[in-house]
Order: sequence, then structure tokens, then C-alpha cells
Amino acid sequence: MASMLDDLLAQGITDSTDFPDDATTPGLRSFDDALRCGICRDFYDAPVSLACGHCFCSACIRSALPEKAQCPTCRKEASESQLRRVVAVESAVHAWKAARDLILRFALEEERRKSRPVLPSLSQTRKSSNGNHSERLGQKRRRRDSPLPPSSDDEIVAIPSSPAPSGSSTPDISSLPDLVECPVCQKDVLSSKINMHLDSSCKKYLFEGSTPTGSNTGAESSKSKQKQQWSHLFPGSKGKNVPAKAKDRDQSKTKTKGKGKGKSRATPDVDVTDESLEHLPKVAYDIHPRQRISEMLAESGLPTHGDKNALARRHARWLVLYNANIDRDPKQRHTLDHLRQELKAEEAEGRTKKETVDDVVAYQKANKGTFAKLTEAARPKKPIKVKKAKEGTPVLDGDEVRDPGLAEGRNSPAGHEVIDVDDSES
Amino acid sequence: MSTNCRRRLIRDFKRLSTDPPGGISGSPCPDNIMLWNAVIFGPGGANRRVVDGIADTPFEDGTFKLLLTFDESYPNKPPTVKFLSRMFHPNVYANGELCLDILQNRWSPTYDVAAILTSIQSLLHDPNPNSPANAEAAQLYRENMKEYVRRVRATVEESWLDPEEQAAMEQDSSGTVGAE
Repeated sequence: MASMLDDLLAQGITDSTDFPDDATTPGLRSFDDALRCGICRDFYDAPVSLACGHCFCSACIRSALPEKAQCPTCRKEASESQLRRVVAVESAVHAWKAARDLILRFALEEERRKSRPVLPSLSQTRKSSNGNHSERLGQKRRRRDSPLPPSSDDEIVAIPSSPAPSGSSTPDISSLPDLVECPVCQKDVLSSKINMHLDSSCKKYLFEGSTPTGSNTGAESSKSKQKQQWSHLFPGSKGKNVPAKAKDRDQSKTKTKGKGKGKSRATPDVDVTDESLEHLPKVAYDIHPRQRISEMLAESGLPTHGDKNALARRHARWLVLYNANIDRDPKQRHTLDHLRQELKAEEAEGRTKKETVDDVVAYQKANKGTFAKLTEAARPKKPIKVKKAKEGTPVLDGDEVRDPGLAEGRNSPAGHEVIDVDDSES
Repeated sequence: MSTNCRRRLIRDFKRLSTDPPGGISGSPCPDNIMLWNAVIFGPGGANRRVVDGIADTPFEDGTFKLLLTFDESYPNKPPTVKFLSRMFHPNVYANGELCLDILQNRWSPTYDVAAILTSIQSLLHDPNPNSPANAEAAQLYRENMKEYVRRVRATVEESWLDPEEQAAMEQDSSGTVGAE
């Protein structure tokens, strides 16, 4: 059974650390990072800047400013009235998203190339990466179970766990575009996850490319794009391979995307691509009775259940989503129905309460193994009981004695990962 | 579908694992990403000075365990951070909660787990005696450095023990403190 963390890691959430470090591929990781919002760490969605010049996703900064009226980066005083669209950044993000997959492949290829001479021999590397005891997050099992394709050893070695030059790191395995086609559903799956994918009846571990799942339909749209591509290739057999369920879902989706549903609501949908659309003003909920807020929600076609606080919260969130949508390039804007769905999905996730741990001793006992691993991972460079790398390669400061399993895909040279940690989690 | 908060925490995890600051590690519970365990090594090393035979980095080598709890408001609101290891520090309460400005009024949504843990690590070395959470530690820090260091070193040694042994020690020490 895959844990919740594995599921989340398998969602293909991209990060700039997917790229090798600057020593291996100068500037790429920083470049990817430069196009990401400091609040959500996803690529800028409807980027806007404050008077100080710092840039954020419109929705992110609109949620942050009510908490504190200052720039999250430099703490200069800030307000929503300062927000201006940054069109150039929006186009840069758009272009980078299209290029990222390819560049990432090149970057990882470069990393492998640079790391090769360090290794004694490739077949040895495979052994060490397979026998890596500290690997975590279920990747270990996944990789072991994965069938070795009947190709030459060398090919198998290089891809799933590329040995990095000493001290450097490789991105999470889930982002390595080492794809195979699933023999059942014909979709792309990471070769390391193909078995898990098959075990899940082709439902999980689909490779979604590097498209960040920023919107609700991120995964959906990449799937339907795939379908479109297939139908281009086989114009005669349009949709024949698509399971009936998926087809239904697609149709219903296009329906909601159109304005059919909007008409049944209290207000007809405005044309979201209209360039002259203006931001909605904020509302002082305290001075309005519940009834009035309920009316405001109804006017926007939103549900009106819940107490006054819930209504106010819903409406405030609606304003954030609506106003952020206006900050998108008119051609990239979502329909109002899409925004309503987004709001609904957010509410469905619910407001989880923070967990509390009362019995500190019992908690530490229960998580003894975890803490032992974390301690070893954090241990600063020291002559502790660790068998050092035999290659005698200089090791970067503070980088040597880390649990390689912690940094998924960070592969130390052979012999480096021999850390005596209690692997059994009680 | 995961919320913004969960996606952010996954990215925090990727960054913390790929580029961990020295002496720091942390990871979410496998079945609950809103709950993180972390370990901080007490700062020491490079800028260590020895005054009157006492090193001014008393927390050095301590392996302090922490628990971070997040809710859906992250990163607009800070997580709750608590030491699991027993601490003797001017800004750490007896229950392990800490008094740190960036976890309260100086929070910014651009901070991530790595930034939080780094700040806590440097707080160990640079306490702020003006907002004491542990009055005794604050007083000793100001007036009796030697005794302060002695008490801190005791918690450092305790931090190396198993939780069971720690529990036993805690009972002992609370007994002696009461006797004093």
C-alpha cells in the first residue's frame, strides 16, 4: 500500500530542485525558481507586482495581504490597490512550461554524462543503488519490483537512479521522464512506477508531464490533450480506444466549460474574456447581516449554506479567485463555472484541525526509527561511524553524511550510503 | 486533488531534502503531510569561542527533536512548532513551545520549512533574553553564564538518549529541582 506521502509525491508536483544543481547545469535550477511564486512555489499564475517590485501569483498575494498589509518578501507596506499585472512574466512562464520537459531531459542527461567518469563501472552502480538500505518513501520497493526490461545492463543503469557527482543532487525520481507506455491503458507511465500503475488498475501513477497541477483540471486536461493527439494520428478510429467512462467525463466537462450551466443560475455568466472586466470590490462583512451576504453569494451563483462566518469566508475566497482570474491574460482566463468548481473543491477539502501530540514521550517512542534516520541525515560533517566514499572524492561541506533516502534521487557514489541506522520503523 | 497547502508542503519537502541546511533535517509523516518530524543539531563549530574555559556554543552536538503541525492556512499562517526534546533555553517554554518572532507576528508566507528550522537553529545560539519563555534560563543567561552552560549541556547530553531514558531522567531532574 502506498502511503499518502507517496501518493502526493506521485502527483508529479514540479519543483526547481528537479533540476541538477548549478555546478552541473549552471543557471537552470535558478531559472526555474525565478519563474515561481515565493508563496506557493508553483509557476506564477496571473503574476502581479507590488510597489516594491516583488512579484506573486495574484491569488496568492490577494490571500496574503488581508493577513498582513506588507510585501511577503521585503516587508514594505503594501495593498491590493498597488497590484499591477506583469505581462512579460506571464508570457515567460507560458513559454517555459512548454520548454521545461525537454530542457529537464537535457539537464538530466548532462548530469549523467558528467557523473559517469567518477564511477568504477556501471554494473556496480546498479548493485549499490538497488541495495541502498536507506532509500525511503516506498521508492525502494517500487524500484526493486520494477521489471528490468530486456535491454542491456548499461541502459538500465543510467536512467532510474543516476549516480550524481559527489555532493550534488538529482531531482526527485518522479520527475525523471523515463517513460514507458502502459500495455493496458496505453498511457505514459514512469518505468519505475509501471508495476504500481498496473496494480492500481491503471488509475494511479500516470505521468502528467511537467504541467503543474495548478488548476483543478490540470491532470484532466493533459489527459484529454493526449487523447487529442491520438485522434490526430488515427482520424478514423476517433475515441475508440477511450473507455466509455472517460468519454462521458470528457463530454460533461466540455458542457460545464460552455455556458449552458451558467444560465440556470441566478446571474448569467459574464464574458470572462472581456478585457474591460473590472475587479470586484472588497466587502466589509461585519457590517452586513447574514441575509445580505447570502444574497451576494446567490448573485454570483454560489451556494448559500452555512453560518455567517462560513458565508463570509466563501464570499471572500470567491473575490480572490474572481479578481485573480481578471489578472490572467484574457485568453487564459477560466470560466466562472470553473472558478465555482474550484471554490467547491477547496471547501470539500475542508478545514482540517491541527493535530496535537500530547504525550511527547510516547510519540518519540513510536517514531524512534524516524528520528534516528533524521538525526543521521542532519548530522553535520564529522568523523562519525560512516564508511567514507572509497573514491576519495572531495565531499562538499556539510553534504556528506546524509541519508540518501531522504533526498530522493540524491545518489551518493557507491559505498557512500553505508550509514548504520535502525531501518525498522516500530 | 490536493490543496495549495499540501502542494506547497511537498515542495518544501523536496527542497529540504535536496538542499538541506547544515545540521537540519525534517520529513512529513508518511500518512499525514500536515505533521512533520524534524531534528536540529545544536550550532557550534566555526565561530566557537572559549571564554573562561567555557565554549560559547553550549548547544553544540545536541540532537533536538521537533514537531511541526500545519493546517490548511499554511503558508499564509505559520505552523505550530514544538520541541519534543527537553530544552533549557530562554525562549523555549517548559512544554517545548517556543517564542520566536517569525513564528508569530513576523511570519511571512514566503518562509518554508527549511527557513523555519534554520531560524530555530540560530535561536539556540542567539537567545533573545528580552522575551523570556523560561525566566530561569533567561536570568542565568544574563547573570551566570557558567551555570547556564552547565544546565544547557545537561539537556544536550539528554538529547542523545532514548525517549525511555529521557523520561526517566526528566522525573529525576524534576525531583531534584523540587528539592533545591
